[in-house]
Amino acid sequence: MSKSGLYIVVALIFLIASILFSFTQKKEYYKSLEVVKQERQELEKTIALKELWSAKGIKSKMEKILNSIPKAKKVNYKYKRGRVEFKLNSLTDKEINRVLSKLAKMPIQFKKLLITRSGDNFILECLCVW
Amino acid sequence: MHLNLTILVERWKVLSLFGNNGTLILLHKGLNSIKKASKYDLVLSPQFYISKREKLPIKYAFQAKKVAPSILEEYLPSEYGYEYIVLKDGDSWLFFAYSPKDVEEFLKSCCNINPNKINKIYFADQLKPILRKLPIGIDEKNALTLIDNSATIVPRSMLDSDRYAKFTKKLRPKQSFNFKPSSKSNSDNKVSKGAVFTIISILLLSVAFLAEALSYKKAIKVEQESLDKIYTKYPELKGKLIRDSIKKKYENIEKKERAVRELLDKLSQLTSKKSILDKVDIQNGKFTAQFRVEPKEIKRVEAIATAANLKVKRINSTLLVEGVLK
Repeated sequence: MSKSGLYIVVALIFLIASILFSFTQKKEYYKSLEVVKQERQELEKTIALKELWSAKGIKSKMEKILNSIPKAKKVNYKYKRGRVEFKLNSLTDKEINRVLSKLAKMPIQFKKLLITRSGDNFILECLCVW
Repeated sequence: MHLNLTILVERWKVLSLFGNNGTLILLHKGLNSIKKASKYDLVLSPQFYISKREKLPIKYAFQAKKVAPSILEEYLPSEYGYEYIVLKDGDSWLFFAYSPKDVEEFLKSCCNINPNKINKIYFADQLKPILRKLPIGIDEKNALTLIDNSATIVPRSMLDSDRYAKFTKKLRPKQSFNFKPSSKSNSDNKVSKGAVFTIISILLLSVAFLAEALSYKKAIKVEQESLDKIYTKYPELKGKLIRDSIKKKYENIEKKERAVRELLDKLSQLTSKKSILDKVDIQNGKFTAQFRVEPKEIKRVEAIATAANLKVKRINSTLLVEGVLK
Protein backbone atom coordinates (compact mmCIF):
# COMPACT_ATOMS: atom_id res chain seq x y z
CA MET A 1 0.00 0.00 0.00
CA SER A 2 1.29 3.49 -0.85
CA LYS A 3 2.08 6.02 1.83
CA SER A 4 -0.98 8.11 0.86
CA GLY A 5 -3.23 5.10 1.17
CA LEU A 6 -1.76 4.26 4.54
CA TYR A 7 -2.26 7.80 5.83
CA ILE A 8 -5.84 7.83 4.56
CA VAL A 9 -6.57 4.51 6.29
CA VAL A 10 -5.05 5.81 9.55
CA ALA A 11 -7.08 9.03 9.24
CA LEU A 12 -10.22 6.99 8.58
CA ILE A 13 -9.58 4.83 11.65
CA PHE A 14 -9.12 8.04 13.64
CA LEU A 15 -12.39 9.38 12.22
CA ILE A 16 -14.29 6.19 13.11
CA ALA A 17 -12.82 6.28 16.63
CA SER A 18 -13.85 9.95 16.98
CA ILE A 19 -17.38 9.20 15.80
CA LEU A 20 -17.68 6.29 18.24
CA PHE A 21 -16.27 8.39 21.08
CA SER A 22 -18.65 11.24 20.27
CA PHE A 23 -21.60 8.84 20.03
CA THR A 24 -20.71 7.25 23.40
CA GLN A 25 -20.31 10.63 25.08
CA LYS A 26 -23.61 11.85 23.66
CA LYS A 27 -25.39 8.75 24.92
CA GLU A 28 -23.73 9.08 28.32
CA TYR A 29 -24.63 12.78 28.48
CA TYR A 30 -28.33 12.19 27.89
CA LYS A 31 -28.32 9.28 30.34
CA SER A 32 -26.52 11.34 32.95
CA LEU A 33 -28.73 14.37 32.25
CA GLU A 34 -31.83 12.30 32.92
CA VAL A 35 -30.40 11.00 36.22
CA VAL A 36 -29.20 14.46 37.32
CA LYS A 37 -32.51 16.06 36.33
CA GLN A 38 -34.50 13.52 38.31
CA GLU A 39 -32.18 13.79 41.31
CA ARG A 40 -32.30 17.60 41.24
CA GLN A 41 -36.10 17.67 41.00
CA GLU A 42 -36.33 15.32 43.96
CA LEU A 43 -33.76 17.35 45.87
CA GLU A 44 -35.45 20.68 45.15
CA LYS A 45 -38.80 19.28 46.23
CA THR A 46 -37.32 17.94 49.47
CA ILE A 47 -35.56 21.24 50.15
CA ALA A 48 -38.73 23.24 49.42
CA LEU A 49 -40.80 21.03 51.73
CA LYS A 50 -38.14 21.13 54.43
CA GLU A 51 -37.80 24.90 54.28
CA LEU A 52 -41.57 25.33 54.33
CA TRP A 53 -42.35 23.05 57.24
CA SER A 54 -39.34 23.88 59.38
CA ALA A 55 -39.42 27.65 58.89
CA LYS A 56 -38.08 29.84 61.66
CA GLY A 57 -39.80 32.70 63.50
CA ILE A 58 -43.13 30.86 63.89
CA LYS A 59 -43.31 31.55 67.60
CA SER A 60 -43.18 35.31 67.21
CA LYS A 61 -45.73 35.25 64.39
CA MET A 62 -47.99 33.09 66.54
CA GLU A 63 -47.70 35.49 69.49
CA LYS A 64 -48.49 38.40 67.20
CA ILE A 65 -51.73 36.72 66.11
CA LEU A 66 -52.72 35.86 69.68
CA ASN A 67 -51.78 39.32 70.93
CA SER A 68 -54.32 40.81 68.53
CA ILE A 69 -57.03 39.16 70.70
CA PRO A 70 -58.00 40.98 73.90
CA LYS A 71 -56.30 39.46 76.97
CA ALA A 72 -59.62 38.77 78.66
CA LYS A 73 -60.55 36.33 75.91
CA LYS A 74 -57.26 34.46 76.05
CA VAL A 75 -56.92 31.63 78.54
CA ASN A 76 -54.72 28.57 78.95
CA TYR A 77 -51.77 29.67 76.74
CA LYS A 78 -48.87 27.22 76.88
CA TYR A 79 -45.70 27.29 74.80
CA LYS A 80 -43.03 24.59 74.79
CA ARG A 81 -40.33 24.25 72.05
CA GLY A 82 -42.23 24.37 68.80
CA ARG A 83 -45.57 23.59 70.37
CA VAL A 84 -48.38 25.97 71.36
CA GLU A 85 -51.62 25.15 73.08
CA PHE A 86 -54.21 27.87 73.66
CA LYS A 87 -57.88 28.50 74.25
CA LEU A 88 -59.69 31.65 73.11
CA ASN A 89 -63.10 32.46 74.55
CA SER A 90 -65.94 34.63 73.31
CA LEU A 91 -64.55 35.22 69.82
CA THR A 92 -66.80 37.10 67.43
CA ASP A 93 -67.36 35.90 63.84
CA LYS A 94 -64.78 38.36 62.55
CA GLU A 95 -62.20 37.47 65.20
CA ILE A 96 -62.42 33.71 64.69
CA ASN A 97 -62.27 34.14 60.91
CA ARG A 98 -59.20 36.38 61.18
CA VAL A 99 -57.39 34.06 63.61
CA LEU A 100 -58.17 30.93 61.62
CA SER A 101 -57.18 32.39 58.25
CA LYS A 102 -53.89 33.66 59.68
CA LEU A 103 -53.13 30.34 61.36
CA ALA A 104 -53.97 28.45 58.15
CA LYS A 105 -51.44 30.51 56.21
CA MET A 106 -48.65 29.56 58.62
CA PRO A 107 -46.55 26.37 58.21
CA ILE A 108 -47.84 24.79 61.40
CA GLN A 109 -49.45 21.42 62.06
CA PHE A 110 -52.87 21.35 63.71
CA LYS A 111 -52.81 18.52 66.25
CA LYS A 112 -56.11 19.64 67.66
CA LEU A 113 -58.62 22.21 66.42
CA LEU A 114 -61.91 22.56 68.29
CA ILE A 115 -64.42 25.32 67.54
CA THR A 116 -67.54 25.45 69.66
CA ARG A 117 -70.41 27.95 69.46
CA SER A 118 -71.42 29.61 72.68
CA GLY A 119 -74.39 31.89 72.05
CA ASP A 120 -73.37 34.34 69.32
CA ASN A 121 -69.67 33.80 69.97
CA PHE A 122 -67.15 31.01 69.56
CA ILE A 123 -64.62 29.17 71.68
CA LEU A 124 -61.44 28.15 69.86
CA GLU A 125 -59.17 25.48 71.31
CA CYS A 126 -56.02 24.70 69.39
CA LEU A 127 -52.82 22.69 69.69
CA CYS A 128 -50.23 23.50 67.03
CA VAL A 129 -46.72 22.23 66.46
CA TRP A 130 -43.98 23.23 63.97
CA MET B 1 -24.23 -9.87 -34.21
CA HIS B 2 -23.04 -6.41 -33.19
CA LEU B 3 -24.47 -6.97 -29.70
CA ASN B 4 -22.65 -10.32 -29.38
CA LEU B 5 -19.42 -8.65 -30.39
CA THR B 6 -19.91 -5.89 -27.81
CA ILE B 7 -20.53 -8.52 -25.12
CA LEU B 8 -17.39 -10.37 -26.17
CA VAL B 9 -15.34 -7.16 -26.05
CA GLU B 10 -16.70 -6.37 -22.57
CA ARG B 11 -15.95 -9.92 -21.40
CA TRP B 12 -12.45 -9.63 -22.74
CA LYS B 13 -12.05 -6.34 -20.84
CA VAL B 14 -13.29 -7.96 -17.64
CA LEU B 15 -10.99 -10.95 -18.13
CA SER B 16 -8.05 -8.69 -18.84
CA LEU B 17 -8.90 -6.84 -15.63
CA PHE B 18 -8.77 -10.11 -13.71
CA GLY B 19 -5.60 -11.01 -15.56
CA ASN B 20 -4.24 -7.67 -14.42
CA ASN B 21 -2.35 -7.05 -17.69
CA GLY B 22 -0.84 -3.68 -18.49
CA THR B 23 0.14 -2.16 -21.81
CA LEU B 24 2.94 -4.27 -23.31
CA ILE B 25 6.14 -2.33 -24.14
CA LEU B 26 9.41 -3.54 -25.59
CA LEU B 27 11.93 -1.64 -23.51
CA HIS B 28 15.08 -0.67 -25.38
CA LYS B 29 17.43 2.29 -25.11
CA GLY B 30 16.11 3.87 -28.33
CA LEU B 31 12.63 4.30 -26.82
CA ASN B 32 11.59 7.91 -26.45
CA SER B 33 7.82 7.95 -25.95
CA ILE B 34 5.07 5.62 -24.78
CA LYS B 35 1.29 5.85 -24.98
CA LYS B 36 -0.26 6.79 -21.65
CA ALA B 37 -1.60 3.88 -19.62
CA SER B 38 -2.34 3.07 -16.03
CA LYS B 39 0.08 0.10 -15.96
CA TYR B 40 2.88 -1.17 -18.15
CA ASP B 41 4.20 -4.67 -18.77
CA LEU B 42 7.79 -4.52 -20.02
CA VAL B 43 9.62 -6.90 -22.32
CA LEU B 44 13.21 -6.05 -21.39
CA SER B 45 15.59 -5.94 -24.33
CA PRO B 46 19.09 -7.43 -23.73
CA GLN B 47 20.27 -3.86 -23.05
CA PHE B 48 18.63 -4.15 -19.64
CA TYR B 49 19.62 -7.61 -18.52
CA ILE B 50 22.31 -10.23 -18.58
CA SER B 51 21.53 -13.88 -19.19
CA LYS B 52 23.43 -17.13 -19.06
CA ARG B 53 22.52 -20.68 -19.94
CA GLU B 54 23.88 -23.42 -17.68
CA LYS B 55 23.35 -27.13 -17.42
CA LEU B 56 23.11 -27.84 -13.73
CA PRO B 57 22.01 -30.89 -11.74
CA ILE B 58 19.25 -28.78 -10.09
CA LYS B 59 15.65 -29.83 -9.94
CA TYR B 60 13.79 -26.85 -8.54
CA ALA B 61 13.64 -23.14 -9.50
CA PHE B 62 14.19 -21.93 -5.92
CA GLN B 63 17.49 -23.91 -5.85
CA ALA B 64 18.51 -22.38 -9.22
CA LYS B 65 17.64 -18.90 -7.89
CA LYS B 66 19.95 -19.46 -4.92
CA VAL B 67 22.93 -20.15 -7.17
CA ALA B 68 22.06 -17.42 -9.74
CA PRO B 69 24.22 -14.66 -8.12
CA SER B 70 27.33 -16.88 -8.16
CA ILE B 71 26.75 -17.92 -11.81
CA LEU B 72 26.28 -14.35 -13.05
CA GLU B 73 28.81 -12.83 -10.66
CA GLU B 74 31.60 -12.36 -13.20
CA TYR B 75 29.35 -10.26 -15.51
CA LEU B 76 27.93 -7.89 -12.94
CA PRO B 77 29.43 -4.95 -11.05
CA SER B 78 29.33 -5.83 -7.36
CA GLU B 79 27.92 -2.54 -6.07
CA TYR B 80 24.71 -2.83 -8.10
CA GLY B 81 21.43 -4.18 -6.75
CA TYR B 82 20.34 -6.92 -9.16
CA GLU B 83 17.26 -9.04 -9.26
CA TYR B 84 17.70 -12.66 -10.38
CA ILE B 85 15.21 -14.72 -12.29
CA VAL B 86 15.57 -18.31 -13.45
CA LEU B 87 13.75 -20.19 -16.18
CA LYS B 88 13.90 -23.87 -17.08
CA ASP B 89 14.66 -24.30 -20.78
CA GLY B 90 14.82 -27.96 -21.81
CA ASP B 91 17.53 -29.67 -19.81
CA SER B 92 19.35 -26.44 -18.94
CA TRP B 93 18.59 -23.37 -16.80
CA LEU B 94 18.39 -19.80 -18.06
CA PHE B 95 19.66 -17.27 -15.54
CA PHE B 96 18.63 -13.62 -15.86
CA ALA B 97 19.83 -10.63 -13.87
CA TYR B 98 18.40 -7.14 -14.28
CA SER B 99 18.77 -3.91 -12.40
CA PRO B 100 15.38 -2.52 -11.34
CA LYS B 101 17.05 0.82 -10.69
CA ASP B 102 18.27 1.05 -14.32
CA VAL B 103 14.84 0.21 -15.63
CA GLU B 104 13.16 2.76 -13.34
CA GLU B 105 15.63 5.52 -14.17
CA PHE B 106 15.40 4.91 -17.91
CA LEU B 107 11.59 4.92 -17.91
CA LYS B 108 11.54 8.11 -15.87
CA SER B 109 14.05 9.89 -18.13
CA CYS B 110 12.66 8.75 -21.49
CA CYS B 111 8.94 8.72 -20.88
CA ASN B 112 8.32 10.25 -17.42
CA ILE B 113 6.82 7.05 -16.12
CA ASN B 114 6.83 6.42 -12.39
CA PRO B 115 8.09 3.05 -11.12
CA ASN B 116 4.73 2.27 -9.48
CA LYS B 117 3.24 1.95 -12.98
CA ILE B 118 5.45 -1.01 -13.84
CA ASN B 119 3.44 -4.18 -13.51
CA LYS B 120 5.11 -7.29 -14.97
CA ILE B 121 8.30 -7.90 -16.81
CA TYR B 122 9.42 -10.35 -19.51
CA PHE B 123 12.79 -10.93 -21.12
CA ALA B 124 13.49 -10.66 -24.85
CA ASP B 125 14.89 -14.21 -24.72
CA GLN B 126 11.33 -15.37 -24.09
CA LEU B 127 10.49 -14.19 -27.63
CA LYS B 128 12.72 -16.92 -29.16
CA PRO B 129 9.85 -18.81 -30.86
CA ILE B 130 9.14 -15.67 -32.92
CA LEU B 131 12.77 -14.60 -33.31
CA ARG B 132 13.64 -18.00 -34.82
CA LYS B 133 11.23 -17.21 -37.68
CA LEU B 134 11.67 -13.43 -38.07
CA PRO B 135 13.62 -10.63 -36.42
CA ILE B 136 11.49 -8.04 -34.59
CA GLY B 137 11.95 -4.48 -35.74
CA ILE B 138 12.33 -2.19 -32.76
CA ASP B 139 12.92 1.09 -34.65
CA GLU B 140 13.95 2.17 -38.14
CA LYS B 141 17.61 1.23 -37.68
CA ASN B 142 17.65 -1.66 -35.21
CA ALA B 143 16.05 -5.02 -34.84
CA LEU B 144 15.90 -7.78 -32.27
CA THR B 145 17.20 -11.11 -33.44
CA LEU B 146 18.80 -14.34 -32.27
CA ILE B 147 22.58 -14.67 -32.24
CA ASP B 148 24.02 -17.88 -30.77
CA ASN B 149 20.56 -18.68 -29.48
CA SER B 150 20.46 -15.42 -27.46
CA ALA B 151 18.24 -12.41 -28.15
CA THR B 152 20.40 -9.51 -29.34
CA ILE B 153 19.79 -6.00 -30.73
CA VAL B 154 21.63 -5.46 -34.01
CA PRO B 155 21.49 -2.81 -36.79
CA ARG B 156 19.07 -3.81 -39.53
CA SER B 157 21.87 -3.33 -42.04
CA MET B 158 23.64 -6.36 -40.59
CA LEU B 159 20.64 -8.61 -41.22
CA ASP B 160 19.77 -10.25 -44.52
CA SER B 161 16.05 -10.30 -43.77
CA ASP B 162 13.67 -8.02 -45.68
CA ARG B 163 10.76 -8.79 -43.40
CA TYR B 164 10.49 -7.84 -39.76
CA ALA B 165 7.86 -8.82 -37.24
CA LYS B 166 6.02 -5.94 -35.62
CA PHE B 167 6.05 -5.91 -31.82
CA THR B 168 2.42 -6.14 -30.66
CA LYS B 169 0.57 -7.38 -27.63
CA LYS B 170 0.05 -10.70 -29.42
CA LEU B 171 3.75 -11.39 -28.83
CA ARG B 172 3.29 -11.42 -25.04
CA PRO B 173 5.34 -14.37 -23.67
CA LYS B 174 3.51 -16.96 -21.58
CA GLN B 175 5.47 -16.61 -18.38
CA SER B 176 5.64 -13.24 -16.65
CA PHE B 177 7.64 -12.01 -13.67
CA ASN B 178 6.75 -9.45 -11.08
CA PHE B 179 8.82 -6.32 -11.25
CA LYS B 180 10.61 -5.65 -7.97
CA PRO B 181 11.12 -1.93 -7.46
CA SER B 182 14.64 -0.85 -6.48
CA SER B 183 13.35 0.60 -3.24
CA LYS B 184 10.23 2.31 -2.08
CA SER B 185 9.65 4.47 -5.10
CA ASN B 186 9.43 8.21 -4.81
CA SER B 187 5.85 8.32 -5.90
CA ASP B 188 4.95 5.89 -3.17
CA ASN B 189 6.75 7.97 -0.64
CA LYS B 190 5.23 11.19 -1.86
CA VAL B 191 1.77 11.96 -0.63
CA SER B 192 -0.27 13.43 -3.46
CA LYS B 193 -2.13 16.73 -3.14
CA GLY B 194 -5.47 14.97 -3.43
CA ALA B 195 -4.49 12.57 -0.65
CA VAL B 196 -3.34 15.48 1.54
CA PHE B 197 -6.69 17.21 0.96
CA THR B 198 -8.58 13.98 1.79
CA ILE B 199 -6.48 13.37 4.91
CA ILE B 200 -6.94 16.96 6.12
CA SER B 201 -10.71 16.74 5.48
CA ILE B 202 -10.95 13.48 7.40
CA LEU B 203 -8.85 14.86 10.24
CA LEU B 204 -10.94 18.03 10.42
CA LEU B 205 -14.08 15.94 10.56
CA SER B 206 -12.51 13.80 13.29
CA VAL B 207 -11.56 16.92 15.24
CA ALA B 208 -15.15 18.17 14.93
CA PHE B 209 -16.45 14.88 16.32
CA LEU B 210 -13.85 14.95 19.09
CA ALA B 211 -14.81 18.53 19.96
CA GLU B 212 -18.44 17.49 20.06
CA ALA B 213 -17.60 14.55 22.32
CA LEU B 214 -15.56 16.76 24.63
CA SER B 215 -18.36 19.32 24.81
CA TYR B 216 -20.72 16.54 25.93
CA LYS B 217 -18.17 15.44 28.51
CA LYS B 218 -17.92 19.02 29.78
CA ALA B 219 -21.70 19.34 29.86
CA ILE B 220 -21.93 16.21 32.04
CA LYS B 221 -19.39 17.78 34.40
CA VAL B 222 -21.36 21.05 34.55
CA GLU B 223 -24.57 19.20 35.39
CA GLN B 224 -22.83 17.22 38.11
CA GLU B 225 -21.25 20.38 39.52
CA SER B 226 -24.61 22.12 39.76
CA LEU B 227 -25.88 19.15 41.76
CA ASP B 228 -22.77 19.16 43.95
CA LYS B 229 -23.40 22.84 44.78
CA ILE B 230 -26.81 21.94 46.18
CA TYR B 231 -25.28 19.11 48.21
CA THR B 232 -22.63 21.46 49.60
CA LYS B 233 -25.44 23.70 50.86
CA TYR B 234 -27.49 20.77 52.21
CA PRO B 235 -24.97 18.07 53.17
CA GLU B 236 -27.62 16.18 55.17
CA LEU B 237 -29.41 15.38 51.89
CA LYS B 238 -26.41 13.67 50.30
CA GLY B 239 -27.36 10.14 51.39
CA LYS B 240 -30.28 8.76 49.42
CA LEU B 241 -31.81 6.92 52.39
CA ILE B 242 -31.73 10.01 54.59
CA ARG B 243 -33.00 12.16 51.75
CA ASP B 244 -35.89 9.80 51.09
CA SER B 245 -36.75 9.66 54.78
CA ILE B 246 -36.75 13.49 55.09
CA LYS B 247 -38.81 13.78 51.91
CA LYS B 248 -41.34 11.24 53.13
CA LYS B 249 -41.66 12.96 56.51
CA TYR B 250 -42.39 16.37 55.00
CA GLU B 251 -44.62 14.95 52.26
CA ASN B 252 -46.83 13.38 54.94
CA ILE B 253 -47.01 16.65 56.87
CA GLU B 254 -47.78 18.55 53.66
CA LYS B 255 -50.53 16.11 52.70
CA LYS B 256 -52.19 16.14 56.13
CA GLU B 257 -52.03 19.89 56.66
CA ARG B 258 -53.22 20.63 53.15
CA ALA B 259 -56.24 18.42 53.91
CA VAL B 260 -56.95 20.40 57.14
CA ARG B 261 -56.81 23.71 55.30
CA GLU B 262 -58.99 22.43 52.44
CA LEU B 263 -61.52 21.15 54.98
CA LEU B 264 -61.67 24.56 56.72
CA ASP B 265 -62.25 26.15 53.32
CA LYS B 266 -65.04 23.70 52.46
CA LEU B 267 -66.72 24.16 55.86
CA SER B 268 -66.64 27.94 55.42
CA GLN B 269 -68.57 27.48 52.14
CA LEU B 270 -71.34 25.71 54.07
CA THR B 271 -71.85 28.55 56.57
CA SER B 272 -74.32 31.37 55.99
CA LYS B 273 -76.98 33.28 57.92
CA LYS B 274 -79.34 30.37 57.41
CA SER B 275 -76.69 27.69 58.05
CA ILE B 276 -74.92 28.31 61.35
CA LEU B 277 -71.82 26.47 62.46
CA ASP B 278 -72.20 24.98 65.91
CA LYS B 279 -69.07 22.91 66.30
CA VAL B 280 -65.92 21.78 64.47
CA ASP B 281 -63.60 19.17 65.90
CA ILE B 282 -60.41 18.14 64.07
CA GLN B 283 -58.21 15.65 65.92
CA ASN B 284 -56.14 12.55 65.20
CA GLY B 285 -56.84 12.63 61.48
CA LYS B 286 -60.63 12.70 61.92
CA PHE B 287 -63.12 15.52 61.82
CA THR B 288 -66.72 16.30 62.69
CA ALA B 289 -68.66 19.51 62.05
CA GLN B 290 -72.17 20.37 63.13
CA PHE B 291 -74.43 22.92 61.39
CA ARG B 292 -77.83 24.26 62.37
CA VAL B 293 -79.67 24.84 59.09
CA GLU B 294 -83.06 26.34 58.32
CA PRO B 295 -85.35 23.65 56.84
CA LYS B 296 -85.63 25.44 53.45
CA GLU B 297 -81.83 25.57 53.15
CA ILE B 298 -81.06 21.98 54.12
CA LYS B 299 -81.11 20.57 50.56
CA ARG B 300 -78.95 23.34 49.18
CA VAL B 301 -76.34 22.99 51.96
CA GLU B 302 -76.43 19.21 51.60
CA ALA B 303 -75.80 19.56 47.86
CA ILE B 304 -72.83 21.87 48.44
CA ALA B 305 -71.37 19.44 51.01
CA THR B 306 -71.83 16.43 48.71
CA ALA B 307 -70.22 18.32 45.83
CA ALA B 308 -67.25 19.03 48.12
CA ASN B 309 -66.94 15.26 48.83
CA LEU B 310 -68.11 15.58 52.42
CA LYS B 311 -70.13 12.89 54.12
CA VAL B 312 -73.36 14.45 55.50
CA LYS B 313 -75.90 13.17 58.02
CA ARG B 314 -79.17 14.97 58.66
CA ILE B 315 -80.78 14.90 62.13
CA ASN B 316 -83.91 17.11 62.06
CA SER B 317 -82.57 20.57 61.24
CA THR B 318 -79.01 19.67 62.12
CA LEU B 319 -76.45 18.62 59.54
CA LEU B 320 -73.57 16.52 60.74
CA VAL B 321 -70.45 16.43 58.55
CA GLU B 322 -67.82 13.88 59.45
CA GLY B 323 -64.94 11.99 57.92
CA VAL B 324 -61.28 11.18 57.85
CA LEU B 325 -58.59 13.57 56.66
CA LYS B 326 -56.96 12.21 53.48
